[in-house]
Amino acid sequence: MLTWWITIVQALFMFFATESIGVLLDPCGLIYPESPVVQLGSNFTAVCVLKEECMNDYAVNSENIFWKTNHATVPKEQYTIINRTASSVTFTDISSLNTQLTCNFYAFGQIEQNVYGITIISGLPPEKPTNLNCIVNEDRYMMCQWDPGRKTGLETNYTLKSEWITEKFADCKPKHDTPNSCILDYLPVFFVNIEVWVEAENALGKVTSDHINFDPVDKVKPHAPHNLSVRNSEELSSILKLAWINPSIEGFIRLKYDIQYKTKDASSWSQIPPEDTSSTRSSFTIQDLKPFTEYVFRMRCMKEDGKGFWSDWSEEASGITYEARPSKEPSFWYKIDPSHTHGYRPVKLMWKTLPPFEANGKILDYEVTLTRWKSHFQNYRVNDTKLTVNLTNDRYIATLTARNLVGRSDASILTIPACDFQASHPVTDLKAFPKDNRLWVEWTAPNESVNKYIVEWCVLSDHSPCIQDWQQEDGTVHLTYLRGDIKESKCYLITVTPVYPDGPGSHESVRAYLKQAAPSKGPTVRTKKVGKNEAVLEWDKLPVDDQNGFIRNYTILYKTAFGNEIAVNVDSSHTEYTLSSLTSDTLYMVRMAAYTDEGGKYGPGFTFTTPKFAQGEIEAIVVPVCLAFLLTTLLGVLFCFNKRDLIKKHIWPNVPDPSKSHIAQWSPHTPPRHNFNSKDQMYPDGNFTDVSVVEIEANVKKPLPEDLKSLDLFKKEKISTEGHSSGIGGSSCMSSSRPSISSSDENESGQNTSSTVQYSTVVHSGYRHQVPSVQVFSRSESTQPLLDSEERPEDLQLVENVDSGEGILPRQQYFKQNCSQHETSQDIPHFERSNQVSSVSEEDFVRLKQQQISDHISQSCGSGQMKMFQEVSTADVFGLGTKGEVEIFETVGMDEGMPKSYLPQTVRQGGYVPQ
Amino acid sequence: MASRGRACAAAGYWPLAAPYHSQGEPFASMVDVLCNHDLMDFPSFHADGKRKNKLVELYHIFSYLGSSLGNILQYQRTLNPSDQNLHSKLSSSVGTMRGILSNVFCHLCNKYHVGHMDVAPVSDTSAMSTFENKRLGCRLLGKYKQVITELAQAF
Repeated sequence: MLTWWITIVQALFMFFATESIGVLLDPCGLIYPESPVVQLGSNFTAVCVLKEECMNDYAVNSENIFWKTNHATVPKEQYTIINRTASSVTFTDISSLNTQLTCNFYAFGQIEQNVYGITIISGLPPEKPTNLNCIVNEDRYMMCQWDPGRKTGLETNYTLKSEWITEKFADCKPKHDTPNSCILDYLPVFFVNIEVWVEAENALGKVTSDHINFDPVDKVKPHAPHNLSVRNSEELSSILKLAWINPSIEGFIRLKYDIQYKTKDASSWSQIPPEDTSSTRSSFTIQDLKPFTEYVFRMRCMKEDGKGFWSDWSEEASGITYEARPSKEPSFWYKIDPSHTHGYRPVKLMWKTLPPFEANGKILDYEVTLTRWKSHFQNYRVNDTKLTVNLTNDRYIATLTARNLVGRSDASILTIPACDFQASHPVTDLKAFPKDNRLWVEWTAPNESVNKYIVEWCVLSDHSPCIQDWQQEDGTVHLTYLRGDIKESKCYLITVTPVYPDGPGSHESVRAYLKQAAPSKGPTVRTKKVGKNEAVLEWDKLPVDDQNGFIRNYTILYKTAFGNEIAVNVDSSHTEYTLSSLTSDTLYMVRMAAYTDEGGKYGPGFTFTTPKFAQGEIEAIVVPVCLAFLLTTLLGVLFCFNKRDLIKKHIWPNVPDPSKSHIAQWSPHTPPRHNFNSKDQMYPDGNFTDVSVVEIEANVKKPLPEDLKSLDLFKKEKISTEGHSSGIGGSSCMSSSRPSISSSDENESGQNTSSTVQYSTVVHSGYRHQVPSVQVFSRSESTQPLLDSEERPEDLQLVENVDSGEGILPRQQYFKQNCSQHETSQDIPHFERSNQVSSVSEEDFVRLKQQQISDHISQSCGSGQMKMFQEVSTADVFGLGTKGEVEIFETVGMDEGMPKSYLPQTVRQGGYVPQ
Repeated sequence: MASRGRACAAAGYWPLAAPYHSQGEPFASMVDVLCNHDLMDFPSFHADGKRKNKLVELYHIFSYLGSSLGNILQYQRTLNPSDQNLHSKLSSSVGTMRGILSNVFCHLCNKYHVGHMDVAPVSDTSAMSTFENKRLGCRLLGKYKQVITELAQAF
């Protein structure tokens, strides 16, 4: 901003100062030179000369002068004070093309005053033009061009000068858009030498090119020949005659020609030998052409001696050579339909159309001749390329010729052997390989002489049949490529059949791909068998449509959920693989890839879990354990059997025989129970055994529901079968099947019964044949008689008497049954018999018990018996509660004067069934 | 000899050597009568003279022809200003005449050391009527046809 104001003030000052002086824009001095053009890299000196008036007005002299280039002050070291009015500045090695140089001073010592300014133009002098050359286009003016050389940075003018010896021509000035060429504005005169040169000039100098002297006719570029025409010859199918019209310059110069030709579809041109077209002419006959082929021609011309320039190419002209007879016999092959009918065999004769270069014309038809015997033949004229005939099983000779407008081809002969012909002598070492984007087939010829080879191929596919294509090769060929539309990633089945004079030989086949690719999809793997530490994987081979190449190997990748993936390569011939060292009870993920030479493709993943145990492992564990258990059990049983006396002594104590007991009183007059406590008093012999008490809660008076009854019964049954009873008739060593209600489980029994029953043991004074004098019964429902009867089988006879009792028929029957068994096997030891009973009638016993309990509890016990148990429960069993509530007590008679047994079966209440 | 061969070849390229076509009446029926009058100032040529003299005479002849063709070109530009083809051919012929003169002079200079050739001026025809100009042109072409054959045979 301050600079801006200073500039304005300076301008105003200058304006008013000049006005006051009376001279408008009269500079205070000048710079010499005013318009300098300096060569780049050279030195330059400028001088600023002040005017006297200005020096006086501003009180300055040359010492006050300072120089600026492009607004930058030049160092004073470059200044030179020439005199009072003049100061110079010197620049060395000018490098910039355009520089503004100003001469300045400070007016009144402080105001910058510009005196004068110039622009230093720097550049380079022109270089000598080179490569001057001229061309004379026919009927046009001559044009010359040259290379100007380096850029000068200055405006450089080029002038094309020309002259004859006798006169000079006007200069030719290039146009701005073509500074390096110029077209002379007069027609060149042929056969008169002209001298041409170029002058280049700018501010720094002038330079002239070398002079060239030439006859303009030697610089001619003639017009191209025109009106080309092509004509064939019926006599010669290998020639075409090309005719044209020469350019007008041919009237006074001789020409030579360049003729090129090609077939219609070709890309490259062939050239007529130059020596054949080195003179002026207007037609030419091209020879050695292919019959019935379209050729395209073009040509150009130039001065015969080679001076000057070739003309442009003429327009193209085309022509077709005349037809010739087919140069080669068609490829000929046959196929026999395997279905024989009535001694005939359908034979499909097939042949290939001749390529144009062999057909030499349009094939009109084919003639097929079948010769069975020398004198017997058939002729067919076919327009198609196949013929199906029914032949006998004899040997045939088939010949084929192709015919065009000119003639027939040679005959292609094929021997169709008899039906019983055995083919042999195949080719060997057959192989196929891709090369140069072609599928090549190579084989080793058999030792026999081969007429020709038939190469057949087809694409193998699971979805479509193998449609064969074929080609014929000469008998000398052992390497060829399939001349068909061969596609990539397709599996080709290639068959080579040698054809001998007497018929075709055996064929050999090979598979090949033109270009393999990775499979389209991967194999689907699955488990065939999974073990604890191994798994057998299996998969199906990929369909050939998906292979896209030869499967070289498979890769199996498997891993656990958190483990690393393990890769296994499997040969392509396998379809299953066993993974070993697997971890049991583990989930494995498996996927599989099939690889060709070009890559692989993974199939879908598959998971399986290895089992925790191997097959048979469980059995190997369980069976020994069971055997051990059984053995242990057996040993236990044996032990129990051997120690049965000891066991019996401990858990099955001797129970006094009630029938032999002596109860002093069994009447309401029986002394109170408390008297009974003293064993010494009542049983002085110490034969008092034991007392078991079963309490049945008496507060449950109402009968149980049926379901609860059954549950109750079940529990009782369970209790009884658990063998916990320590009561009379208790369990066996291991598990007693004999039910007994024990007093050892009072709580449970108390919960399961509706009343409390005091269960007393029959106390008798006599034991083992000690007959008490008086039968004294304590209130008891013991099963002692039964136990006792086990010890003494003779007591079972008492049961018979009991059976006749009232109200206890089921149990009586039960015991009767037991007794009968006992009777039939009296010599069996007691232990065995006991087991026998329990084993045989365990189920019956349960059923019996249920029936008994239900009878007693829900039915029969509903009146008397329940009532009795209630009273019993509330009374003193051992004395106080025996005042006649027990309505029925059968007194079992005693055998031989001794009581046999005691069966308190007709209790009214309590639902207790003695066992 | 090379120069002579070039001159002959250049004469063959001269467009005016083409067959003359009549311009209509009265030339349609009286071409020969009107054009056969000889040009009085046409340089002479002596075919049996020395080679140098023949070359000098040749130079004079082509100088005359060139100047006359120049006059014809100028007159045709006025008479047929739109006939650019004729103008181009006349211009080319004038240039060819100049080329022949240059070659003849160069040959005289190189071989006979002739450094200067005097050329007689061609009479001014600007004052002549159009018909007379056309007639003069016809006569000139007729003379050219005649003399060019003679010159070709002389060298």
